[in-house]
Amino acid sequence: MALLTDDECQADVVVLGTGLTESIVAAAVARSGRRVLHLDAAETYGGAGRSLPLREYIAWAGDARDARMPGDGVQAGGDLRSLPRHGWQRLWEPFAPRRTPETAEMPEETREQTEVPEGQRAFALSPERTECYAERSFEWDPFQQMNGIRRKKNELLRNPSAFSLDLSPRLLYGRSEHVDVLIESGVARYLEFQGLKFTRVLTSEGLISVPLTKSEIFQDAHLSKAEKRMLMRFITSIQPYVSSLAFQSAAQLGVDQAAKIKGPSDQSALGMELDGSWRAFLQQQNLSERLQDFITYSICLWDWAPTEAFPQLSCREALERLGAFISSLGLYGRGTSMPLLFPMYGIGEVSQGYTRLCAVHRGVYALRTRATHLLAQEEEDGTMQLSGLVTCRGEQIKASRLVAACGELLQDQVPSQSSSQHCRRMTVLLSSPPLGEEGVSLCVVPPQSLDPPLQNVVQVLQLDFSSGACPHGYFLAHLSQASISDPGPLPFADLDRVLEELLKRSPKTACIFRCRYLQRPRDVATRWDVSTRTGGFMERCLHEERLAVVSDPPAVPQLLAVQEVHDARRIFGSFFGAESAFLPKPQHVAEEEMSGSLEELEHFNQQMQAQEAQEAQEPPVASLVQEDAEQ
Amino acid sequence: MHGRVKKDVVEPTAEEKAKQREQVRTARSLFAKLLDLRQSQTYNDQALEMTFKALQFHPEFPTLWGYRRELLTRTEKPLEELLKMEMKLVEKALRRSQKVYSIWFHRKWAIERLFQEVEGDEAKAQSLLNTELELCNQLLEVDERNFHCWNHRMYVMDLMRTKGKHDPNQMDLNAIDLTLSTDLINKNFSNYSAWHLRTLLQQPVAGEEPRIKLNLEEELEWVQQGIYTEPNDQSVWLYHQWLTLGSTSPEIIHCAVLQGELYMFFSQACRLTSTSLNGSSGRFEAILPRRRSTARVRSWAVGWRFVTDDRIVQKTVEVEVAVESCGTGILKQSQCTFKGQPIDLDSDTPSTATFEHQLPLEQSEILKAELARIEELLEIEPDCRWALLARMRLQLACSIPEETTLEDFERMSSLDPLRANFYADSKANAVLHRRSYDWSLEGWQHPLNLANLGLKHLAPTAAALIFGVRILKLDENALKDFGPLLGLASLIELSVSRNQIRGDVAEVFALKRLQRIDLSWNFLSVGIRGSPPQTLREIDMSGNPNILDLADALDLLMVDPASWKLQVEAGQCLACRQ
Repeated sequence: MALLTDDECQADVVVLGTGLTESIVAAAVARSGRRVLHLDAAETYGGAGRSLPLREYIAWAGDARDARMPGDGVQAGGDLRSLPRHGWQRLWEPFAPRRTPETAEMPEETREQTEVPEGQRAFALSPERTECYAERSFEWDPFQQMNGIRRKKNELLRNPSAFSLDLSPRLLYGRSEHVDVLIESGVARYLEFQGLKFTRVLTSEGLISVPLTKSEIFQDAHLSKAEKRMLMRFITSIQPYVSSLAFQSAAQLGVDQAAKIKGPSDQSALGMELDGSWRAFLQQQNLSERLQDFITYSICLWDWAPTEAFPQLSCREALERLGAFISSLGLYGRGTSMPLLFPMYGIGEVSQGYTRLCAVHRGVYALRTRATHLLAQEEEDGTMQLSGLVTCRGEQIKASRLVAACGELLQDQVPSQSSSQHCRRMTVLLSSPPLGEEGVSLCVVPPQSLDPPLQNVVQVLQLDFSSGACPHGYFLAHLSQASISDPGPLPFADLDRVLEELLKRSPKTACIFRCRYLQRPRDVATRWDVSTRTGGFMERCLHEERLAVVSDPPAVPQLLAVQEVHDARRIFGSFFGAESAFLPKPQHVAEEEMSGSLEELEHFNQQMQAQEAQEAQEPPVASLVQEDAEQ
Repeated sequence: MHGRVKKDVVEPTAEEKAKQREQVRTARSLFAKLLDLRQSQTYNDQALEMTFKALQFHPEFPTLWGYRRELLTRTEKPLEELLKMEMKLVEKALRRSQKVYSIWFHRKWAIERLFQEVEGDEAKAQSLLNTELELCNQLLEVDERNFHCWNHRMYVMDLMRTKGKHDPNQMDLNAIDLTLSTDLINKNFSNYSAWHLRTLLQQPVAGEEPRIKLNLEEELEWVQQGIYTEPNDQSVWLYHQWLTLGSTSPEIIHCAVLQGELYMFFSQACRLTSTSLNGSSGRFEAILPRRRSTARVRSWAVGWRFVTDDRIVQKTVEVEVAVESCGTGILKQSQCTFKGQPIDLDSDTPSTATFEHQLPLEQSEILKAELARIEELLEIEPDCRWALLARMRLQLACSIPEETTLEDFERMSSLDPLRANFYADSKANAVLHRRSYDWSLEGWQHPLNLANLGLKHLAPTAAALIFGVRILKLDENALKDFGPLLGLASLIELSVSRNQIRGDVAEVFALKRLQRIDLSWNFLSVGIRGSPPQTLREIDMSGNPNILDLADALDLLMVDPASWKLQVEAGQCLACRQ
């Protein structure tokens, strides 16, 4: 039973998976006037970077019992489920004509025999679907400290869509390629962001706020005067590479000619080897140990402790990160000193923003639709060319290009490499803010802060009601730690210790649930076995730039969305050439931006002319004021 | 807001330009109409409304605001309502452009009127002022260094202070000021106005107690946090300077007796309001007036002479004076007393009494602590010119350094070449201090050599220290006028050759004990006939381009030219009394 019409089955590009990168590509292709068909096997948008309501989250994390609900099997949008069963069923029916349980449960075999059109060949894809998240576990009341956990649980489950839980929480730099694309493409209009309120470092002396601007350094109570000077000096000496108004004094802004800073023309003036170690460079700058930690972990947001097994931060990389951070300072929001933005309702919302743009430009969307076969046309010279695919419902889709998320095409389970980079994640729901203050904020825990030291630095992202991720009065903490070695028997030990340390500070804080998992992005290079028939075909398509595979959300950096736009741009460029415009500004946005300031004047102009026309009569002055106040 | 251009620099497209032109054309016709109406002195409600529109469109138009004021004063409608509307209009204009003088002026005008209108109605007046304060706070949020806004706020606060003087329920205005200053400084300490507000709060005004007493050590610690954070920011150093050296009131440095006349010297320029000597009232005359004070206004001075016909014969004197002084824009009143033996300037025994004026112990402790902190900073930031300058100022306040220890001034001017002259002047002043001190060890009869220091002027406070000098050499400096030199009544020989002094030769006849004077190579002229003191024997006027014929000059200058004769030597031309 087909869901898509024949017309909808004709596309220029088919995109499989609705993760962030895939969605950006889809939007870019649709925006350039080409037909896009965007499919996802899952029930929800977002792919590996999705944000889930509570029930789905619990189901995903493995505790299926709690996720069960009346009328299981038919999973509608969140709000309908809060209605009594007969109520939502009646409501649901008119909305669901295109999908019936039969299609979902139709056995795969029937479609194996789908006849292949003349001159085409089908390459079967594995029906198994895997995710990059492993060792998931979910517990209510993990510390057995709550009395009314059952009541609380029911209360929370009654309104599960008050939650929007990120599997792979991400933040954006205020000034970054991604934000530029969001604004330029107009997608930013669909979205809301919360600026991070503060950043803290958990040290042995407690939670210390990291001063980021001149004003914060001035007010800081922890740093000594000499440390303040060294920090400011470091920042100003680094300034020629990463400029920001936030740190500059009037003299250095160019008001005072004599004191105008003449930036060194090359990095050698800083005494810096670009490929050298950042740690060593910081030591040279006479920065104290804790300032080094502050800069490396909480400003550069570096994920690795200086252990031999871990990647080392080079000066080049550090300068880039520092630049991204400092140039974003003070851009958005008053009172938010952090230059990072959290997308409201999670990163899944951002990919949905792009899908919306794609849909506006005639992109067609179908969820719960899996590709079972790839189709290939035999060319005259005997080679096989990608010509389309077959869906799980048997629809034959014609398209010459395909973008797919790693998980959608995965054919053979690639054995997980124990040495690959991965991220240990833990998400907890708490009754009070773990970082002491409300607001979306970040905390880093350098390894030496706890005794014995942690294996690696831990990042804690605190979310509250204002981020749209959890209900009022609750606080989410996403703890994460990058790792490279074998997880061992207790992969989450460090995260647990950090959580314990944070909870120690407010003994009344209750932990309502805890979810732990490993994020293990698959190696894109070994995604399939090229010796198989399908694998060989896909490898060739990849080579001919007819197929593009999107990797899983990276494990490192743990909390930053930096790679996606870059990847999307690369894929788009490989399909249509680097010169074709990538998500240009929509006409209506450009027009609106142009008018804005002139609107008022125009309005006044009309008023003036109207007034001249009826100069004899004049309205009483008081009413004019009234009018004015209303405007 | 500072260091940023006022308008965005996006070039409008041709279409936009055409559109704008159209709009401007319409607006201009309105403006022209309004100017005509004003010319014909038309005052009606329609005009009022038209100005309303026009000013909404373009608030930077002082004439229209003026016309509006005229209209408002001539209207017969109830003024209160109109003025309230006025406040709304001005507020709107202010939100658009906060740096236009005419808008702020109009707002002040409107408040003055409205304040009169609501007189007697306490609640209304209070709410008016509160709204005003709130507006200022909002605008300071946008631009914390907008001086228009600061001035306006100051005006509003003054109104509130006067109004609430006898009101027990008055809000604590000083606390409001203090909080604002603290908040803004925390937000961005590069804010001269906010620091200035702090100094105002801590100063006694017109004889009253200071509005707020802050812990000096805490303030110093706080400002040091700012200094360490950004040592290249002038605003923090200004407050630091005020805390350490700025808040002093005038004191009597010393008293001296010269030929039976009593002289009194202060640490800074002040005005005497009442004086008494040994219990009976008397009058003092200014002899070392403040720089730039004209002959007419000589009431501000550093040095004063007691006016009396009798010679002072007492060994000890007791002087009591009430003085006014001016510091950071505020008039301060204080009492000064001197009891003891004045310095005898007629004797030949050396005396360093004029240099023995000591800082209060407490203050000198503070200065030493601050010096240590600045030394620490200079170890990290050896090139910070503000720190170098502050160190130098503190050192000079604590002691009289040797000439050889003054090379910091050269360092500062190489770091900050735009202000090289300032450093040169400061250095010259420091050297002058040192030379004067060395000279005072030798005794009054020895010549004081201040030649070739590059002095541009002689500070009255410096002149006070060398009062009593008999032979003074100031050759080859860059003096522009006689200035306080004319107050040094003890001078017998003066040499100011090769300076840039402009003025009349007859001015020096004010020095009544003068015997020889060298005025050569200056820019002096002769015009006023004066009577030289009887003691004057020799006057050298050669090399002044305005005095071409010395014989004529003598005729013009002297009451009795016959008793003078010219002595022409090689390249020099002296006039000597026969």
